[in-house]
Amino acid sequence: MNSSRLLSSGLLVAAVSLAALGTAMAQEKTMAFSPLSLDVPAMQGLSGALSHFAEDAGIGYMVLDPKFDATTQAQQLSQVIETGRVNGAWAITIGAPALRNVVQRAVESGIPMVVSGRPADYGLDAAQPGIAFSDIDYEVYGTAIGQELGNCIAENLDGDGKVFFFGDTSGTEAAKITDDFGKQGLATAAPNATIVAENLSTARLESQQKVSQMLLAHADANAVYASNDENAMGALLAFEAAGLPTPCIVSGGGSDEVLGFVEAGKIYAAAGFDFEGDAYQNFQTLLAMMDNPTELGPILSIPIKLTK
Amino acid sequence: MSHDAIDAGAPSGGAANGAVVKRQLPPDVAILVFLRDRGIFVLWVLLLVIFAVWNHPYFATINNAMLIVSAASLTAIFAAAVATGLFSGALDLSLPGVAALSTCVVGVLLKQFGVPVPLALIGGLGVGFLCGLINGYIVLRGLNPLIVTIGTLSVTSGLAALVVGGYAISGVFELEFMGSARYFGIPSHAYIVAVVYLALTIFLTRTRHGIRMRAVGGNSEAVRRAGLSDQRYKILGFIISAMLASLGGIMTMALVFEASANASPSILFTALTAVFLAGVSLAGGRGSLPRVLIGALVLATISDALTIAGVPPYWATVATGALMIGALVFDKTMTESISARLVKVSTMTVHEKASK
Repeated sequence: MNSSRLLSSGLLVAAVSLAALGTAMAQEKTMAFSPLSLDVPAMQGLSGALSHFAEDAGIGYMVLDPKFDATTQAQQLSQVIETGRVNGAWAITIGAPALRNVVQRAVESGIPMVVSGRPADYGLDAAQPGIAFSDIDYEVYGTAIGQELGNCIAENLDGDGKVFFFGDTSGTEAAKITDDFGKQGLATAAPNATIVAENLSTARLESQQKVSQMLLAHADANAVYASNDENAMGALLAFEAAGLPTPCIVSGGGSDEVLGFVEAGKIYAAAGFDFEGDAYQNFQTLLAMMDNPTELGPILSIPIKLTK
Repeated sequence: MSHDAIDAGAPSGGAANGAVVKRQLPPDVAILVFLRDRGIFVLWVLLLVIFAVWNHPYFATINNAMLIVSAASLTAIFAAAVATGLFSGALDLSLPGVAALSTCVVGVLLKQFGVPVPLALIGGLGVGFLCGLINGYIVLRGLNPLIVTIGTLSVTSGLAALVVGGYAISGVFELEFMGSARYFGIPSHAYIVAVVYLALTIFLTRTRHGIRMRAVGGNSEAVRRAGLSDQRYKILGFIISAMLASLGGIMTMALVFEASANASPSILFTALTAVFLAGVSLAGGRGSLPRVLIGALVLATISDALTIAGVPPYWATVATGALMIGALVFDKTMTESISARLVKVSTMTVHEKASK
């Protein structure tokens, strides 16, 4: 009898606590942020910055983690937008077409969003009320990496570059654009450079092993196009382990570690989207749209940060 | 006849026997059997109630229910693929690769060759059929299914990338009717899942071939001694499993409008979690398909609730893993407790009879 009462009381307290928590949740104005993946240090940093901005602005903040999966990103955003859980959302889009319906429903529900890309990527022909587009120019990005590598080859190797090309691993349409324009940028800046081997890798150890193996077949390689920081670090370690001179390396990304090596002169340059620099602009845009969701959202662009 | 078979709608004779067995069970054993066989339903209902209170007023809405159904659908299809493989006695790890390859083939057929949608879909499912057949054929040569399917995972992933030239084909809008479209307010995926689960449940529990396939998974030697071809049913398990993976891949493509060669292993892990939550045995033979569906719904419900609550994503990952371990421990504890009590009851009955 006593234990039953105790159990009932416990359940009652738990229900009241949960209900109170739910009510508190319902009262707060909240924004959601959906990055590519929280596994990426830059995305974690961005999420941290947004969390501070939200706190300063007196609104709630929640971060989602789609882990590079377009389906998961669409599902998670639907769950917080269609239920009215958030009053605004910013998504660094993994696959724009996958978010077509999410954007459509956000417009219908009057919940503002900042999404990557252009209206056409979402099947829209013009700007939409309450939707801001943060355009990522992969053509410029790829060109910047390729061109800087070409510059390094022209300056340090008399234009005679033998390049290991580590392409974008995401396998998306954006990856194809980045890689294609990277090659074009390289060809423009160093016309005599040749790509002697291509590969894909996301992890440092894997990159290091692959470069070591590629060096067996191409011992004269002297430049590395690295689509991410891990490729760049892995390549640097592999060349050092093989006792070869430091090659020309340009990294797509720009973590603190890589920037340190750029400063030390071991990596020629790092080019990356300046998401953190862009964060405040996007946050302010979202905040303004949350106050007035019927106004047409602007088309913004993410700057590219080049460090050399 | 096991209780699992009864759940899935066993043949009438078996069901009758099962009913007799259930009537004779002592109350404590009956409760344990209920918890083991219906625990997943109880867990789901409990979660729904807790989350409805916790996430008030966002969670308990029709719209959110549809979002949960939609999110559970993909997991449910891949979980059915894993479960079918396990029913026939093999864990097929190549499913993500098969899904990616089928997706890429359908994408190429639609976008590069302009093939009509029905033919492209048949082509995609045909890829699954072939992969299952090849997996089954190689395994029957006496090789370990886990190693073989890891190999085919690699082969199919590579082939998928080759088919699309390394980059995803985007703008595959032809399949929207089976993607984000809703009919009568219900996501199109839900209809597909309903048809697949109904058909598979009938096949596994009401047809001779389905029952034999499960029997092969449970005790292949016994089936062979009964004069039946265990090899045919093992291959059948691989084929159905791979075709379901193909269907899951195509459904994913229909949602994201993109044919990607990315064979994400997370699909497999989520499906495995749903399958183990449902108490499907890794040793083969035992398990219920409707419970697998509830397993997928449980996972989708948890993910949905944690997302709405704004719980840090890392906790969602922890919760999923903990749930899988908990389900395995629960199933083992229940099964052992039932066995121990049944032995005790049986011993007591002998003494009682002797005293008389």
